[in-house]
Formats: sequence, C-alpha cells, structure tokens
Amino acid sequence: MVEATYKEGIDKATVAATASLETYKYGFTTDVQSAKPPKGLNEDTVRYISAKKEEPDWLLEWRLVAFRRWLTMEEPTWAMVDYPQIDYQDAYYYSEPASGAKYESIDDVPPEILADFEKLGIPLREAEVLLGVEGAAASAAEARMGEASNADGGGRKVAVDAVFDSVSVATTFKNELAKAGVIFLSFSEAVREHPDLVRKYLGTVVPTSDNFFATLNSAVFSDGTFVYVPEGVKCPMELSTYFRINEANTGQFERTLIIVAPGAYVSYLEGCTAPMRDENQLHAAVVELIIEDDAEIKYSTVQNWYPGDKDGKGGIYNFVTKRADCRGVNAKVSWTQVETGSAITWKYPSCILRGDNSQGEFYSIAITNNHQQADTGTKMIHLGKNTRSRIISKGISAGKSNSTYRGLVSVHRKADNVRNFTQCDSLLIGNECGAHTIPYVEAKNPSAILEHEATTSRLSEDQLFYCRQRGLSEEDAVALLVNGFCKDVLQKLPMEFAVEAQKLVSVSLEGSVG
Amino acid sequence: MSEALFNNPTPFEVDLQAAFAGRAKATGAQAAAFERFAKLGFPNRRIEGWKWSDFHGALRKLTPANDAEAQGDIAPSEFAALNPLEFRIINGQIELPQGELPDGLRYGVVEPVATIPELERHAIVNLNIAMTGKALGIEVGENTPDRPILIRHINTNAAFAFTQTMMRVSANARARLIETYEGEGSGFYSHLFHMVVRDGAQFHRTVVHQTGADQIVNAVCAAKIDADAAFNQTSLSTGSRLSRHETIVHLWAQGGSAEINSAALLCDDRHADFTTHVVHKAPHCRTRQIHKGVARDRARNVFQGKFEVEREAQKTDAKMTANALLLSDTAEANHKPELEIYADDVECAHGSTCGALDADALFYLRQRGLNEAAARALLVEAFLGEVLDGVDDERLGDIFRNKIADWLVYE
Repeated sequence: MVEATYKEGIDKATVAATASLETYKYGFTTDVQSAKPPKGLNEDTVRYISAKKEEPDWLLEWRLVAFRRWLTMEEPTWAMVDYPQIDYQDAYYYSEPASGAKYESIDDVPPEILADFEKLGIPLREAEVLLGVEGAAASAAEARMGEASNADGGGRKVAVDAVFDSVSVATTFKNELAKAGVIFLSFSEAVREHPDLVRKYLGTVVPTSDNFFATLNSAVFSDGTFVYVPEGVKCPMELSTYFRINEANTGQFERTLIIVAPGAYVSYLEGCTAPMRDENQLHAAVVELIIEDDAEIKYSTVQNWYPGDKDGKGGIYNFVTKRADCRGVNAKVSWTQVETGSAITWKYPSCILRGDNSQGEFYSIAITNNHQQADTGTKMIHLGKNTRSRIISKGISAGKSNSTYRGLVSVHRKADNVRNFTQCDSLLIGNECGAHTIPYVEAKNPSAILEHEATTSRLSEDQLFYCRQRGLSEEDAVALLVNGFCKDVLQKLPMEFAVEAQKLVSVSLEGSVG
Repeated sequence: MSEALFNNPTPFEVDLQAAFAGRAKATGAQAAAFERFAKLGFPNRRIEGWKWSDFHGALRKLTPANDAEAQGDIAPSEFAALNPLEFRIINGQIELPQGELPDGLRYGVVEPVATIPELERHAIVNLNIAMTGKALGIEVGENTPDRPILIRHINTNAAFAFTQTMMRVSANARARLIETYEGEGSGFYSHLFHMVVRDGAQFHRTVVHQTGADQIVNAVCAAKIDADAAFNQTSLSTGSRLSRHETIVHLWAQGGSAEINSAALLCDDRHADFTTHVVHKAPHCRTRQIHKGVARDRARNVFQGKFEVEREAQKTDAKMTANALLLSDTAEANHKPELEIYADDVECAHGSTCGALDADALFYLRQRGLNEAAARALLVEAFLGEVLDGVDDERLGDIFRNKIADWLVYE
C-alpha cells in the first residue's frame, strides 16, 4: 500500500482503500506445497482427477465421455478475440494444496492459505464474516478484514465457499444453512454426500457436448460449488464463492451447480482473482442454474482475474459457459456481471426461459483497458408463453482494448406474448480501442415484441468540462462519468459488491486518460 | 481439375466442377478463385454470416429443369415508362441495348474482375469470379442525360448462371440504375456487381427482386465511394426459395455518404436476405440505413447490417434501423444489426424491433369503417413508408407503391 497524504475530514480508511485499489492488488502468490498430476491432458489426467476426488464410477465415465467428445471438437473462432494458439498439453489440469483436499474445520486450513484469502478480503473465519452494511469501512473488502462486529446488529451474513486452485478449501456457515435445509457444499463434497442430486442435475443445462470449452470443463473440472435450496425456502443469507488461481501453469476448471426448488430463492455472489504472471492461464468454468416453479436466482459476478500488464503480457484467458434453465412457471433469473479482469473474456451467461411467465435478466458492465479483449453478452431463449427478458449491457473500452457485446434473443414458434428489451451502450475512451455490438434477433412468433437499441459514443466533452470546472481531476471526472454511465447495472448489484464494483470501475480505467 | 478439390461434393458441386473444367479458357486467377471456392464450399448455417441463409442446403436440393430454351418472349419491364436504357442478362448472356449511344455513356462487354482481395473468403464471390466469362461494363460520364439505366437479370430454368457488372460513375456525374431480378422456374443465379462512384458523383441504385418462387439468387454489390460522393440504394424484394442481396460499401474519402434502404414483402415459403456491410474508412462520412421486413405464411426475412468504423474515420455519423412485421404464426424474422467501431469521436446507433400489427391501430381503423383486409393493408403500407420516402423519383415511387399494393391484395 502506498503512503498517502490526505485532507482533513476524509476517512483515512477511504484513502488507504482507494490507494490499494490503484493497481492490481491481488497479484501476489502464496507459497503452498501442492500436488499435481504430470503436465498435459489425456485420459489418465481425467482418471487422476477423478481418483483424487474419490468419485463414483458414473462420474468418471461421464468425464471420459466428455473428454473423448472434446478430442473431436474444434476451438471456436467466431468471437472477436485474438490470442495465440493454446497448447492444451502445456498446462497442469489439477493442483491441490499438498496437505489434502478439504479441511474438517477452519482451524486446519494452512495459515498461508488463510492469510491469502485474508489478503483478498474473503471472510473465511465465521467470526469475521459479519458485515456491517452501514459501517464506515471504505469497501466491502475493507469491512470484511475489519473487526468482527456484533452478530445480531443488523449485519448481513455471507456464506463463502473458497476455491484455491483446484480444490475447495473451506465452506463457511454450513451448519446454519443446513438448519434452513439449504445445501451449500463444494462440488466434491456434494458428489460424496448427495450423489443422487448431483447425478440428477449435472449436465442437464450445459450438456457435455455443448461447446469446446464446456466439454473440456466436463472432462477435467476440479471443484466448484453446489447449492440446493429446497421448496419454499428463502436462503437466509447470501451465498458466495471465491475462486483463486495460485499455481503457475495451472488451469482452473470449476463447476457450479445451483438448484432452486419451487418457491425458493437464493442470491449468489462470485468473485475471482489470480496472481500476476507473465504467462497466460486458462480458466474454463461451467455454471448451471436450475430454477423451478416460482423460484428465483440472483447471480452476481465481479470478475477481476489478472488482466495482464499494460503491454498485454500475461493474464487469464476466461472462457466460461454460464446458463440458467427456468424450468418452472414464474421462474426468474437475474445475471449481473462486472467484468474488469482477464486478458480475454469469452462469456455469455444465458437464460432458457422454458416455463411459462418466466423471466430472465442480464445486466452487464464490461470494462477493458490496455490490451484486454472481451467478447461477452447473453442469450435469451424464449420457449414458454409470456416469457420476458431484459438486457442492459454497458461496454467501456480504453487503451488498446476491444470490447464486444454479442447477444441472442430467440423466440420460438410456441412462445406467445414474449417481451424483450435490449439496450447496449458502448463508450470509447481514447482513439486506440474498439467497441462492437453484435446482436442476433430471431423471431418465430408474431405476438413477440422485441426491441433492441445500441449506441456508441465517447465521453461528452461538455460533461467532462463541467466536472473539471468543479475542481475534479481529469481521472476523477472520467471515473465519475463512467460510473454514471454504468449506473443502471451497478444498482442491480448486492450491496457487498456494489461498493467494490464502483471502485473497480474507476481503477480499471487508470491510465486511460491524459 | 482433380476430383479431390471438393471434400464430399454435392451433386451441384460436381456439376459446377464439370462446367468449370469444360470452360474454353480460364485464366490463372480464375483457377485460383475456383480452388478457393472448392476449399470453402457453399456457405452453410454454421458459417457466421450465413446462419439464416443456407445456400449449401438449398443448392443440394436444387433440381433445375435445365430447359433454358423453353423461355418465351420477354415481357416489357414495368420500368419501361421511365424510358430507360435497357440491358438484359438472360441466363448469363448479356444483351446490349440497340440504337444510338447516349452522350457521355459508354458500355460494352468486357473482361471480368480477376480478384477482389477483401472478398477472398466469400465462397460465392470466388465461384462467380471463376465462372464468369464476360462482364457488362458501364461508364457514366459527367454530362450524361438524366436517363435511367435498367439491367434486367432474367434467369429461366437455367441450372446456374454467373454474371458480373462493372460500373463507374465519373466525378460529379449523376447516374440512376434500376436492376430487376426476374425469371421463373428453378435455378441458381449469381451476380457480382463492382461499382465505383468518383468524387462528388451521385449514384442511385434501385433493386427489385421479383423472381418466381423457386429461384435461388445471390447478388453481391461491392461499391467504392470517393470524396463527397453519394451512394443511394433502395431495394424491394418479394423473395424466392433463397435470395440474398449483399451490399458492401466502402466510404474511402471524406464527405462520402451512403443511404441504404430495403423492404421485403414475403409470403408462402419465400426467403429474403438483405446483408450490408458499410465500412467507414475516412472521417466525416455519413450512413443512413432502414430495413423493413413483412412476412406472412411460412416466409423468412433476414436482415444483417454491419457498420464498421475504422480508426481514421472520426466524426462518423451512422444510424441503422431494422423493423420486422410478422403477419402469421409461422413467419420468421431474423435480424443482426452489427456495429464494429474503432474510432472514438463518432455517433453510431442502431435500433431493431420485431412484432405483429398493432391491435389498437387495427381496431381504430375497423371502427372507422375499414374492413379487416383494408385496415391491415393500410397499416402495412404505413410500416413500409419510411423506405418509400427514400425514393426521390416520383415515377419510381409510384411503381413501388403499386407493387406493394399488388402484394397486399393477396394479404
């Protein structure tokens, strides 16, 4: 953290927190002994992972089918991203801290890993998890690191599953959640403790044959999160998973499966970081959401993988398949994402609106700076009657980066009275970046009302001038205007994320002006 | 030509290869183009940009009567009222107009283009380059009398025909071109239009696609627009088994402008694809685009519009609107309005909507005493209004209105 001089009246913590955000502060590595299979990818790698996790035979078979399928597939090239050919044999597909996979109690977690997550501001110790919303702490991260506050003092609780490289190291609040009947486990635990549930739902939203990266994930996925919210239960706290890549040359392939039974509700947060390394690391995750009658999932992501340095060296390749299946009537899903990290982002959180009256929402901010490339958007597939969807996408490009919105709105023959509204706005900062919009609209039912609008512009000179005149520095003025540009989406984030996301928005654009 | 050129060829591809091999003299460039085509094959649904227009699938099923001689007399064009200079391309054979050459206009049968580097990945353009024997060349000088040029593409039961037109509009000249795609029976027609509009010139192109239901047509127009020149295009299509009109406009120099409007009126199983790609390469250029598609029965309307703004093209002003109207439960509309922008000081926007006729508006008109059919026709006509507004010639506008009225009678 840098030394900061600050004006009287400004909270010291605010200054410190802001200063700490100025660069990618999660770029440290943690020295942990790890166990890895040999480099490369073949059936033995898949068997190794499965054996390590003591998986049942059906799951190994499932992985192998995916792997064989993957061998026949070609890497997609349609996205507007440009990267050197990935050598899939030149990486480790599994890495776990040497002391074994999961720890019985938080006290058994090696101190280095705990310290790592502490540095990240992740509240693994349950005593420290209580988060005062109205507290004076500058950021959510700051707050989490702060002193534990009164348990019943109105603070909101967040249960966390922390995934370190390929394994989940800790899941908090399990007991309290169990009381409510909510299953919140790492994926490996879920396979052991609730094999029937996992088997029933795994791969039903994103099948093993779905796409190149999803198929790869199906073959080698390591850990992830499993959530089951039983009928009529409103999950008593926010659930959160934190992904961390630590090892060099390691890919992270996690799998998230969330099932909400009829009438249930859950809000789920996801965050991710990685050390700063010169080589590119692959992250290919799959997220499957299943929403039954009258149920709802709110899924929020702040994606802050290491984006590479200012010359475009290093960074995470983020190729993610996320899909929600609204199976029941009146089901609802809402994706909110803030994408600031990754060298390359290839990600289209989608909604299959199968149940009548179901609703899908997608709110996205994608910020690219330096040499980052993002090709991201959503798919709204309307199969049921009276289904509604809403897409708000804000793309901001700075430096030499390129940001693309790619989205599909599809209305099937039998889907009467569908309603969609899409708005994609792009903002260009500087004259070396690019902003692109590629929406696909397919309508096969005349009663559908589909609207799409997109604009591309730069920051208004007048607004900048006004802010400067009021005494803001140019960077502050840009940050303020960009935050205003993103407001529609930032408002949709849960409180814990909103503050951090707002800062992240400003930080990601550092060095893009002047 | 070795058999190995195609990977798993369709019967149609085998025919094409035989036809190419049987050509009297193909140049090296044409052989190279054919090889590129063979490698790419006809575009199928999995190829980006052809998702909704599956030429591979449609041509696989094509069974032309191959009875080209059976065509009768060609009826006069409805555009004859405009006293145009009429060119005909019948089953690939160019017929030049008879009589005196108007001042300032030169035309003839010329060598076709050898290559279009930026379209080397376009399978059908490659095929067209390989297969075209002679091209129609037209040059419009500065003092050309205001007489429209009419090119009638008539394909009648020919298995396939490949033609090219090259046209140049000299600096500060004005030219009006009307192209009609006609012909009955089944067959595949591919036309490649190479176009240059010089500094300060104005060019109006009108395209009317009115073939029989079984024709498969692919027409590509690549236009290069110089400084302060204007490219103005209005298209009207009633579709056919598969029809794609692709317009690629490069605004090369400052002050260039493009206005590209299109309307599709589709019934039965007809398909119409309007694909456009406008590349802004220089600052201070302007593009306006409106597409309106009306589909009923099992018809499919496709619109793919793309604006690309290069880094140098600051102060670009580009707007695109695409609206679709679905009149039946089984009709289909597919839109892809695309922006690819690398310059920051620009204003680019697109909007796209899709829906049925407004029930309230219909109710209002019925209440005012119009019968159902008349009320619907009136609303459809109003929906198409913006495209008609782009037609600056009154007589041409009237012909368009009549065509729309004719279509609506059957609605």
